[in-house]
Amino acid sequence: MKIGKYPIILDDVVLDFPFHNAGKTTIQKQFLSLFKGNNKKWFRALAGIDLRIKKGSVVGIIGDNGAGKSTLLRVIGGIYRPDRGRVIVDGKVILLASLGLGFSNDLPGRENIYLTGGLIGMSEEEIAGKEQDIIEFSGLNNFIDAPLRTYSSGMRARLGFSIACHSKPEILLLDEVFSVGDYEFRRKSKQKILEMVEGETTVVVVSHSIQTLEEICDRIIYIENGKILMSTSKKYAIELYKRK
Amino acid sequence: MQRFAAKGSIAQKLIRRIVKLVLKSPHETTKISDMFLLLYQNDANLSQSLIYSIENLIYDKNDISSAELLFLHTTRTLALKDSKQCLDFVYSCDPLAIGQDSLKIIFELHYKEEHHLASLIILDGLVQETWVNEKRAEIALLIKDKEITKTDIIYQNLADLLLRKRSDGQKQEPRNIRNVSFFSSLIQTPLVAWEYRNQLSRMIRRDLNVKYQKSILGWAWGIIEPLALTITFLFLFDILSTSTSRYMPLNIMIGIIIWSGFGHILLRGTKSLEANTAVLQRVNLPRQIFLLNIAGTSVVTVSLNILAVIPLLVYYQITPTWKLILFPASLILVAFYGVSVSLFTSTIQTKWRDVSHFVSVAVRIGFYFTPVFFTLEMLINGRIPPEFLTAYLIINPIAIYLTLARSAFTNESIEIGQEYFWISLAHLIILYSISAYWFSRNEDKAVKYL
Repeated sequence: MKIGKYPIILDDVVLDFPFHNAGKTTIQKQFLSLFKGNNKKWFRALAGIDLRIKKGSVVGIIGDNGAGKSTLLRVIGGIYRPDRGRVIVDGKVILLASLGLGFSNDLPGRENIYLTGGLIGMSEEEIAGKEQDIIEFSGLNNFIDAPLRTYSSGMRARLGFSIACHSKPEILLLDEVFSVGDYEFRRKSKQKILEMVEGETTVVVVSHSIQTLEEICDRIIYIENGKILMSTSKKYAIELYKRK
Repeated sequence: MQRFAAKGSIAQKLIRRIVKLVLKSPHETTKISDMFLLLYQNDANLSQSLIYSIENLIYDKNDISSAELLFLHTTRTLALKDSKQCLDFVYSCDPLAIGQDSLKIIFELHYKEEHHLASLIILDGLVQETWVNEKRAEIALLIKDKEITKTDIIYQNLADLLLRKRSDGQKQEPRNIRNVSFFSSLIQTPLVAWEYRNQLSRMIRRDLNVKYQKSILGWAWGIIEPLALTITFLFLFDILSTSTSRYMPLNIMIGIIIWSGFGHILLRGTKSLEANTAVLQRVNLPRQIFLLNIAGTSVVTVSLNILAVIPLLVYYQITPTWKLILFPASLILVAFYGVSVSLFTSTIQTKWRDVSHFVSVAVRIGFYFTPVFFTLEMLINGRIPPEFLTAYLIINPIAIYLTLARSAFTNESIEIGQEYFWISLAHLIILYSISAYWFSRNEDKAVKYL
């Protein structure tokens, strides 16, 4: 296994989720199900995913809502442990979803830089050194000392992206980050991603915006019902996705 | 897509009977098909349950031939009924369960639906007989003058994957359950606390800062609440009871401050996973960290609030001795008890939100059953039979820790034997071991319920 060449390897990954039927179940049913044993209220989110992603590549993931895109990212990010199969991820991973990295609403933006920076594994000195860069890149100069609850969703995404980029991840997972940003932010962040890829960062992007994917990706993975249908050059997969 | 598991007990029963029948007498094809049809009349969305049954046979019972049989019968029945549904089932199922006969059925389905690319791939997987070659030639001709559809390309990919997995699928890895030994689960939480100490101290500082943000009295609120409660209970005692101990206000105040810290750990600790869903779904962190954060915040708050007893100490003219060290020790034990309970409750809370309500009722009741606004001495000299008292002290270690914390300030001797302290310690350690092991076994599952 050449881990150096493929920082992300997934072998036949299966993930089941509990089937939420809150409100439907009664105490009686819950009680009876204790005796009936495994009552199989699960659905399959990922059904046998095989994936190998090369170092320094940008891979896009497309698919319908509920196809398992975000779940796949979370499995790569180590948040869910697969029920079957193997996940080998080599390097520091950062997962960035649309509304920031898990911020605290009551604290000002500046405090949040330290808080989330610490959560994703940066030391205090490291953050202090990069604080100015982070604020500058996010373009939040006037708002950085305002509490986070006053931020718009676009501003949150900008701050999150800025922190994530400056923490120097080896693998960056982006889940619908660009959908809330304005034109200027999109342009800047695309440029940043391409810069990072040159420094051998591997990037996986989930997006519904085909235009974004066309611009930055080397390869596209097309997912449906928790299975990979296509893993090809972008033209082919996007063509197929559009034809639907 | 029929990805949701079947509900309803009749269908479940039927599946169990079919599995049994297939295992016992696999050659009674008509009987099995009849049962399958009955099953599908009952509930159309059964594919998922059957997939699980097949996987169960392969991975848990190591019985591939039975899995193949079950798969064959299912596809045969489904193919008669609805070919699209059948293909859905085939490609969702484990490839290890697909035998030669089933592969033939899959080929026929693709052939009938005119998925030429996919059928060519399936043909490669079949044993090379003459009819296979004939079909191949026939399809090659058909492809030339037909346009290739999107579904065909998708099925081609799926079929390719299926055959590849089937050929190198002999590895048979068991299900992935985090394999944590009992002893390593015990040191997990302390290790997390040590490894993330910098982060934890930052989180605790943040919590303390946020807590009294936007309030005029700020920190004073931490003292106002126990003070008000102490005065209330003193007032009540004055009316209701004749027996008063010398240091009553001091004892009540210490009890209330520590109990509020303990209740805080239990209430917020139970919700620690639920309340941090946003972070847990984005950052790969040890999941105990939020619980440790809550416990740390409580310990700091209690240590700050306890300063409020200084005026009382001056009033009673008590000079602290070496015994003062008992206070931090008992505070840590109380916090440890809270963490132990919360490790257990926080994981269940993600599945059943009732747990936090239950805990809040328990904390409320515990307040009255633990010597918080009275002392253990009053309980011992009360009207309780001694055997009940022993049982009470074994069940409720907090009562002992509270008494220890009080004697740290008042220098009063403790009226119960030392053996009860060791019993309470054993209680604590057993509780922690069980819940730490539970947590390490169930945390992966609990996160899925968030």
